[in-house]
Order: sequence, then structure tokens, then C-alpha cells
Amino acid sequence: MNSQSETKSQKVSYKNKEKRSMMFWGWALIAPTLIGLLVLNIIPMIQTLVMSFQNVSTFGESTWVHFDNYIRMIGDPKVWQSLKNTLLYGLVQVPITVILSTIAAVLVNQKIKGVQVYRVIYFLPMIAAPAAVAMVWRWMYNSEYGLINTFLKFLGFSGNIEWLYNPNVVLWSLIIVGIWSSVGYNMILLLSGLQEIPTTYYEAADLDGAGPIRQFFSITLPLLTPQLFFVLVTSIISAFQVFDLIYVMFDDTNIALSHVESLAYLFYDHTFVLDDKGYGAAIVIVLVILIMMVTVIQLVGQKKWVNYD
Amino acid sequence: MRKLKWKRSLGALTVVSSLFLAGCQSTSESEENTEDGPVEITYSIWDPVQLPGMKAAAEAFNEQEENITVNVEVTPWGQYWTKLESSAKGGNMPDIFWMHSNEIAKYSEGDVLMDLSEVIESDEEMDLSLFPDELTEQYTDGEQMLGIPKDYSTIGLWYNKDLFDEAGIDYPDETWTWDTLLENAMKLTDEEAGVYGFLAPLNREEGYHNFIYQNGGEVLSEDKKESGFRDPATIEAVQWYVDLSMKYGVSPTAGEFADNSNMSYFQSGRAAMALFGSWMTAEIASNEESNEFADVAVMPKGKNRATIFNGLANSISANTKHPEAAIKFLKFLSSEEGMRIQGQEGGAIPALKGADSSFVEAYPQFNTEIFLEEMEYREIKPYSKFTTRWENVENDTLIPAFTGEKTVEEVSEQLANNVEAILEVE
Repeated sequence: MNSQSETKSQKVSYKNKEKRSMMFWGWALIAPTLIGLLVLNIIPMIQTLVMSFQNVSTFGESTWVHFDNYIRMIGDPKVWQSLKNTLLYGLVQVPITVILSTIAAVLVNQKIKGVQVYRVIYFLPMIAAPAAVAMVWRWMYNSEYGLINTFLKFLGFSGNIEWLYNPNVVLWSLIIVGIWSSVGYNMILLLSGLQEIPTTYYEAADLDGAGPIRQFFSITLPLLTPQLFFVLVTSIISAFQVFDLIYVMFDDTNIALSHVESLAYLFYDHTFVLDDKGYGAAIVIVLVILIMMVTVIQLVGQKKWVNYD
Repeated sequence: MRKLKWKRSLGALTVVSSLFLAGCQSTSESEENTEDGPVEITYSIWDPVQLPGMKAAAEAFNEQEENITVNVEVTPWGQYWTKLESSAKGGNMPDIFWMHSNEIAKYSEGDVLMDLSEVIESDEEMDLSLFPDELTEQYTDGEQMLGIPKDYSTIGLWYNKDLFDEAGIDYPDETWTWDTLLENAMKLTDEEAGVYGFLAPLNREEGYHNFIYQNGGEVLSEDKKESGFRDPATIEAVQWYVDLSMKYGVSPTAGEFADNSNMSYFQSGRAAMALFGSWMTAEIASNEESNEFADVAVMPKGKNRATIFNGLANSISANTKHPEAAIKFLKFLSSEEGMRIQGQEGGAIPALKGADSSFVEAYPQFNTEIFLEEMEYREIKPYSKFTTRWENVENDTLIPAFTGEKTVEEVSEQLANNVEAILEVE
């Protein structure tokens, strides 16, 4: 009797010990990531939110200004212009990128000679540093000596498009570079989806006499929707955050800058150039809310069109 | 048993956090600056062109003070201020570093710069009156002296000798007025060859601000409370500058400078004349062709003569670990010898009276004395507490004028109001 109860309690304490030890190692193992996330992402995020309600002084005491920064945004034409630029950029760049990446993915999924080479070529823009990409495009866009206008002239057009400073053109110059640099990455994601589709479906469709176009719309596209959904969500987020291309391609003295600057650029300008960190924080909070809203809508809307087997 | 485990987990936590923090820790050396031990100090600058001059000065200093090694660090302008600001907040600023008029107000308010007034008073050799007084004033806050002027800059009228020779026109000189400039710019413009007589980009310091003062206008009022853009003289000068490209076509339009910078127009031989600051001399000399064909003259005379002038200062961190070493180096940089070493490398004009000629000696091929001559009618680059903010507003509001959509007069009221809204909160 006595000895029995003793072993029982020993068992319990052993179990507790094991549980505690598991807890400890669990936390210890995720600690590096957790600390990194806390220090580099979560704490700064909270600080940004706090700063958006403050008039931030770099070294001195910051003062609370309630919603002043947000109210100021409503009356700031630059905010509205850059919101318009950001939305238009996303609205045009994302659909074209997704369509082109799908086409590219289907094309490099064929059994053709040297398909690896094509895959590498499409993926190259992804490896290149955005700053270098923007710099090269800037040279190509040069209206006098640039490759693009020279080529247009060769084709018989007038070839005098002012890619870098015509207020009506600049956003389109940016969109072209944006598409070019993101097609490759999305293509790889979609390619992995394509390769998961069993070939038996296509064989059956062949027997039923369905042509390649019919096969694409009836088999490929529906079965690719999970990957397409992922690509769409990440593309919109990165489109709304476009900054580096603008920063390198358009100098701060460029007269057309206001027609191309995004919310993220405006945030940078106010925070780091004009040293108005409170206002900059408010701008970036609005951007975060915008991205969150669009993403939530997509998550809800996916039920209507995404096929999970 | 329990206690032991607690200890063990604490140990693990320490290991993890120390791993994480290892990257962030700065090199903390001996707390006090010992008289005889070797000491290393950091000198932070933003201009790579001036690096040779700064390094030469650091080496010369090391020869005198064998125990003090100076590491010169270059951070490009774009990141320099972000880095300096966060290092100031974190309490690990470089020991000694460059300061600029656009930023001094913030740092002076933050109390992160060492007050140098005692250092200067206690030193018999140091005489502040030998520096341009606008600069010493700029870096003074009440009783505190927060930086010692390092260099100064003025703006010159650079020209392409080859293009002048081809057109048979005499080189620009001190007899030139605005009218002579425009007249000759028109003669020198050759649309077919893509050559322009003059370059008039949307640029303040190396552009229209000079003309504003030459016309008797001003950018900011004396008390820094009002914008000068209600003054007809200011408006007239800016309009004249805009007309160079929009009306007379002697310059590329402001937009076209997005394709090619004013320096690339000039260096590729597509501009007969352009305004560049004295700090660009090294850049012009570094290009084999422009080194051959370029020369510089004083800017043309409007109603009067004027040039925008500005200068940097050397400041010391208020909480440097090696105050004595930093002060010794600062004194050396500000001495005749230190100033001359910087000037000889041709990066910038030394701020100390008498030593500035070393810059002229560095460029026998150019008529660089004019940069020194122009000091007689200098106008300090307009500044206030939030300089970059109103500069940004001025730039944005003037764009419709530079694209010809509106006249300068039409945008000037809005410009003045927007600038004054910023000046008001200072």
C-alpha cells in the first residue's frame, strides 16, 4: 500500500518534470527567432504606432498630439497623390505580373530543349539587386541616348518619350520595371504548382479530344488556384510597399517625382529626410491598414475561386 | 533540485541573449583616457572626395601624437545623418565628426555635442576671428561653441574653353553681367549639336539662390520668420532664371536634368557654362577631358554681386570616451598646418584665413582664386531650424514655374505661406 502510493507520486512528479523540461527546450529553441522578431519587428511596430500620435523630437521629449498627424494627412495633397500613385501602381502592376508569370510558368513547364536555361533567364531579375536593376533601367530610359527610345526610333516611332520626367509617363515607367523584376519570382512559385498537377488529367483530356487551350482553362488554371492565390496576396503587398525602384530611378530634384512617389516613399521622405518622424509614422500606419484591408478582403474572397483538393 | 534547474535555465538564457547581443555591442575600451596608453579615435565624414585630405591630416597628426590613431570613416550623405542620429541616441557617436548647417539645430537642441568654448579660450593659438564669422555664428548656440569651421564653399561660373574658342567669344570675366551671360549663352547654344549655352536646373545653392541675392532679394528674412518670396526682387530673379530654359532655350529644361545631370552635360561638352560649387572642382579635375577644357570665373553681376557660401564644421561628441585625444585632433585640424594639409588635397577650401590659398595651389590648371575673391560679397546659405523642410516645400512649389505652367509670381504667394507655416513652428 505504502510503497504503491509512493511510486504513483513519483510518477506524477516525473511527468511534471518531463513536461517542464519540454516547455523549457521549446522556448529555448524558438528564442533566437522570437527575440529577433520582438526586437526587430514587433517592438518597432508598436513604437511606430505610438509615434504616429506624437510630435517626435529626435533627442528631446516627444509630445502627444492625438490625431493631429492623421488630420494633417487629410489636408495634404501629397498624401492623396501618393495614395493614388500607390493604388494605380498596384492595380496595374499586379494583374499584369500575375498573368505574365502564369504564361511564363506554363511555357517553362514544357518538355523543350534547354528549359533550364529559360528558367534561369526568367529568374535572373529576382537575383539582381533592386538598386542595380533600377540603375540599368534608368540608363535605358534616358530619352536622348537610352536603349528604349533608340529602339522605338528604329521601329519607326518618333522615340521621344520622356520616360523619366514626363508627369504622365513616369508611373508607367515604374510599372514596367516593377513587372519585369517580379515576373521571375512568381513564375517559380507557379511552376511548383504546375508540377503538382498529375499528368493523368491531361492524358484523359487528350483522349476526350480537348485542345491545349481548353486544357489550360479547364485543368491547369483551376488546379493552380492555390498558388495563384498566394502569388496574388504577396504581389499586392509588395506592390503597395514599392520604394527602392522609385528611390534609385527618380532623384529628389526630379520635377515629376510627385507623380510617381508611393506612400512608402513619402514615409521615407518625412521620416528620414525631413525629420518629421511622427508624420512619417502616421503615413506608414495608413499604409499598413490599407494592406491589411486588402489582404482580409482577399482571404474572405478566396472561398469563391480557390480550389483546395 | 528545483533551484538547480532554475539556475540552469538562467544559464541557457544568458548564453542565448549574449549570442544575440554580441553583434550589437560596441567596442568599449578603457573608460578613461590614460595619458600614456595608445588611443584610437574615430573621425566620421560623408564626402569620399575629401577622404584623401582627411586621411593625410590624420596621418600627419599621428606623427606628432604617436599614441593617438585616428580612423577616418566615410558614410555617404544619404545615410550619414541617419547613422549619426541613431548613434547619438545610443550614446556611441564617433569621437569627432563633420557637422552641417542643415542639421546643427537639431544636435544643438539634443545636447549631444561637446561645448568647445573653453577649449578655444584656453588655447592661445586658436583665434576664431580667423574663420568666416557667419560660420562660427552658425555653429554657436548661445554661449556654447558646438563646432569649429572646417572649410567653406562659394559658387563659380564654370565654362568650356573649347566651345568659347569655337564661337570666337571671350571667356567670362568680372565685367560680365546678367545680360552678357544671356547674350553669350544664346550665341553658344547650338540646338542641332545638342549644345547649351548655360545650365539652369532646379537647384538652389548652385542655382537660383545666387541670382536672388545678386538681384537684391532674399530667401528668408533676417529674423528667419518670413519668406523672401513676397519681395519682387526675389520673384524677378527666379523668373529670369526659369526663362533661361523656358523662354530663351539656352538651357535644358528642369525636367531634362532627370536624364542627364548638370555635371554630365558639362563634362560631356554639351554645355558652355554652368554654376558649380568650389567642392565640385575635384570632380571636374578628375575627368581627363573637363580637366583640359574647363575653367572658372566669378559669377556675373546683377544689381550687385553675390555668391551663396556655406561651410562645414568639426564637432566632438559630448560623451566621447577620449575627450583629450579628440580635442587634440580637433586643434590640429583647425591649425594652419592641419588646414593646409586638407587644402593641398583639393577637396575643399580650408576655413582658416591664410590657409585657404592651399586650395588654390592644388589646382594650377583652374582660376580657382575666384572662389576666394568671391568671399567679399558672400551670402550665407539660408538656414533655420528646419532647413530641409522649407527647402523641400520651396522645391515642390516652384516646380510648376520651372515647367512653365505658371509664372514665379503666381506661385510665390503660396510658396511664402507654406514656408512661413514651417518657420512658425520652429
